[in-house]
Amino acid sequence: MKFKLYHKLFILFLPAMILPFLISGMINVFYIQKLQSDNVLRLNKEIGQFVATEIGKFLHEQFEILRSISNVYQESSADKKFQDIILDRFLYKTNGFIDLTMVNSEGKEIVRKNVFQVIAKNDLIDRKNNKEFIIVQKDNIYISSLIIKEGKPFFVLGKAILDVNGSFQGAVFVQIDGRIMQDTIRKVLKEKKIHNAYIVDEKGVLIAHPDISQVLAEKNFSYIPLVSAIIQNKNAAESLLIGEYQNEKKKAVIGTVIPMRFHLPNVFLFGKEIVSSAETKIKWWIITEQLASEAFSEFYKIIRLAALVLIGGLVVLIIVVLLFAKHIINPIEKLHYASLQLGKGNFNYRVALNRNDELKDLADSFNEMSEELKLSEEKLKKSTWENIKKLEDKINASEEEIYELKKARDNLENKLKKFL
Amino acid sequence: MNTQFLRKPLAVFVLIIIAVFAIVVALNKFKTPKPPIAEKPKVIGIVQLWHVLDRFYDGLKKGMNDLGYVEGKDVVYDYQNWEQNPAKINEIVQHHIDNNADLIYAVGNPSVEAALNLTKAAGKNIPIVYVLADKPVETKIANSLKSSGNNSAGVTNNMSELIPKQLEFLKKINPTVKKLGIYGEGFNVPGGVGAWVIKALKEHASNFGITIVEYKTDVPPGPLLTTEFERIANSIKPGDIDAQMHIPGHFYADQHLAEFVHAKRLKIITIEPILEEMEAGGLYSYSADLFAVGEQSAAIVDKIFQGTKPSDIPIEFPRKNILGINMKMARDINITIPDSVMAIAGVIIEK
Repeated sequence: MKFKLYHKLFILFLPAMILPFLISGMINVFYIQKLQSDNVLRLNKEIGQFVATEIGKFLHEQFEILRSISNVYQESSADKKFQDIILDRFLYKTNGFIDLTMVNSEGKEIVRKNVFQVIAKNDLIDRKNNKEFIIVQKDNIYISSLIIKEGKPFFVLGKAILDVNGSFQGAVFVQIDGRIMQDTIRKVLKEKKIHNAYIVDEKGVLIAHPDISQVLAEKNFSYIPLVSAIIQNKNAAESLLIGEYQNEKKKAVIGTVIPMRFHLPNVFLFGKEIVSSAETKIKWWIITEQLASEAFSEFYKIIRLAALVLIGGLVVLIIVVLLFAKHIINPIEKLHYASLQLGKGNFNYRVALNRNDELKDLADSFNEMSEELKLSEEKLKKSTWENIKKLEDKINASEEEIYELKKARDNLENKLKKFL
Repeated sequence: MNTQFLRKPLAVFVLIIIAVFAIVVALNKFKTPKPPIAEKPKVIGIVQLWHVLDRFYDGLKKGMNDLGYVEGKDVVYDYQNWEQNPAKINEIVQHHIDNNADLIYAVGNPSVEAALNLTKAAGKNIPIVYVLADKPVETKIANSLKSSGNNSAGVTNNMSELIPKQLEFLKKINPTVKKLGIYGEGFNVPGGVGAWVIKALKEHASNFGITIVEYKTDVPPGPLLTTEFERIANSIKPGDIDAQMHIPGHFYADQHLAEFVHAKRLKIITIEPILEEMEAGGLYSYSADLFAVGEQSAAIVDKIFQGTKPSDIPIEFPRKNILGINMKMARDINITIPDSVMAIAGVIIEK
C-alpha cells in the first residue's frame, strides 16, 4: 500500500516537534506541583504553630493573672476588706472570668466568688480529694478540659500558691468562659486567612471551634482521620501530622495536627526564682485546615494556563507541520505531474515554482531538460523526414527503373511471340 | 476585503498565534464578579417587645453588617414593635408570615411563643431567632439547651438567674434594706420574663434577709392601669419599702420612669434588670449587654441563612454581664456607693 510522502512527513515531524514540548511541560508541571505541595504543607505547619503559640500566649496571660492574684492575696492578708475588693476586681474585670476560688494548703476553700451565683460561707467546700487540687499540688498548675454545665462552657485553671521557700501554701482556681478560646481561634483565622482551626482533647471532643454551636453541642471529631490517629496512636500524637481528608462539612481539606505545648513562665517571688520554667503538656491538639481547592488554587491556575498554552501550542504545531509538509510536498507533486506529462510526450509542459531554493533549481533543471528534449525531438523529426524523402526518391527512381524494365520485357515478349 | 494574503502560510500562522494568545489571555483575565450573598435580600421580620430594648436590634444590625450582610442589598429589616401591648403580638407575627419573611427575630418570651404558634399554624417553617427569652426549656420554647427541636434558636436571657447577684449588690450598697417593693401581678405581661424575675426574687430574697412587698392589681391594661399604678405608688410612704426592683414586661409603657420619680420621693434604691432602663433613673443594674447579645444573635441568623437548621443550633447564653451605677440617682436619693461596688462597675453614669 502506497504511503504518501505528505503523510510520512506529517507523522515524522509532528511527534518530533511535540514530544520535547510535552516532556518539558510535564516536567515543569511535576516540579510546580511538588513546590506547591511543599508550600501548602509548610504553610499549614506554620499556621498550626501560630495557633499553638496564640493559645499558649492566652494561657500564659491567664496564669500571669493567677500569679498576680496569689501574690496580691498573700500580700493583703492583713486587710480582709481590701483583699475582698481586689479579688472582686480580678473576677469582674478580667475578661472571661466566671469564678474565682482561693484554697488553703489542705484543700479547703477559703474564698469563692462567682459572677452568676452568690456564694455563701456554707457553700465553701473541701477540695482535698478533687482532681484539680491533687494535680496543682503536684505540678503547680492545673488546666482542665472543656466543661459544659447547663449550657455554659468553661475551663478551670489552677495555680499553686508558694511561699519564699517554694512550699505549697494553697492554690487559686478560676473558671474561665470557654468562649474566650473561640475569640482566639477566630482572630487567628482572620489574620491568617485560613479555612478553619479548632482544638480537640485526647478523646476528640471539641474544646474550641470558630462555630460555638459545635462546642456547645459537644461534638466529637474522632471520626476525622487526623484526630482518630491521635486517639489511637500515642506516638503519632506527639508529632506533627498532615493529611488530606473530608472535614465535618464534607469538604476536601488539607489538615495539620499539632500537639499543644504550654510553657509555664519562671516564677519569681521577692526577687528569687522559685520554680524553673517547665513545659507542660496539655492533652489538646490543634487542627488547622486549608480547603484543598484553595491550597492548590495557584497550582490549578498554572495547570489551566499550561493546558491552554499546550493546546494552543499543539494546534499551532499541527498547522505548522501541515503547512511545512505542504510546502515541501507541493513542488514535488508538481514535478511528478510534469514528469508524467513528459512521459506522455508533452514537451511543452513547464513546472512553475515561485520559490527560491533547491526545489526551484530542480524545477528549472526539469524545464531545461524538457526544452532539450523538445529540441531533440524536433531535430529527430526533421532528419527522419529527410531520410524518408530520400527513401521515397530512391523508391520512386527504382520504380521508374522497374517500369522501364517491365516495358522492355514486354517488348521482348511481344517480339518473341511474333517470332514463334 | 482583500483575502489574498490569507493564502500565504506565514500570514495564517501569525493569525493563529494571535488567536491562541487572545484566548489564553481572555480565559485568565476574565473574572466573574462576586455574586451577592443572596440573589434577593433576606427579609428579617423583627418582633420587638419595647423600644427601650432596641439595643438588641442595633447589635443585630451591626453583627449582620460585620458578617458581610449589607442592609438593603443582602438583608432588609421589617421592624415591628408591640410596645408591651400583648394584643398586638399576633398581628405583628402574622404580618411577617404573610409577607414571607425569611426569618423572624423575636424579642422576649411572648414574641417567641407567638412566632412558634403562628408559624406552626400557618404550616410555614420560617426560622425564628430570639433574644431575651427566659428559661426556654421550662417555658417549652425549646426541648433542651442543646436543641430546640423546632424552628427556633437564640440567645436566652439570664435576668432571673442574676437576681441573687442583684440582691447581693443591694445589700452591699445598703445593708439595712429589709423590704423590697415590686409591681407584680397585673402590672406585667403574663408568662413573660417578669414572671420569672418575680419567681426568682421570691425564691432568693429571704437568703438576704429581705422581704418582698408585691403590689398587685386586677385592673386591665390601658389608661386605667396607669391611673391605678399612680394611685398605688402615691400610697407608698417612706419606710413602707426600703428599695424597689423594676419588673420587666410591664403594660404601662413608662412605668419605669414613674417608678424613678417615686424612688426619688421615697429616697429608695431602684434596681433595674436592664442596663438601658437604669440609665433613665435606676440606681444600678447588673445585666447582660443587650448590644453584645444582639451581635451574638447575628451569628445565629447567619448560620441559619447559610443552611443550618435552627434545631441544630444549641441555645446560647449572654457572653458578658455588666454592673452599671447611676451616680446621679445616687446623689438624688443620698446614697453612697461603697468602694467594693464602685471597683467592679463596668458602666458609671455621672450625669
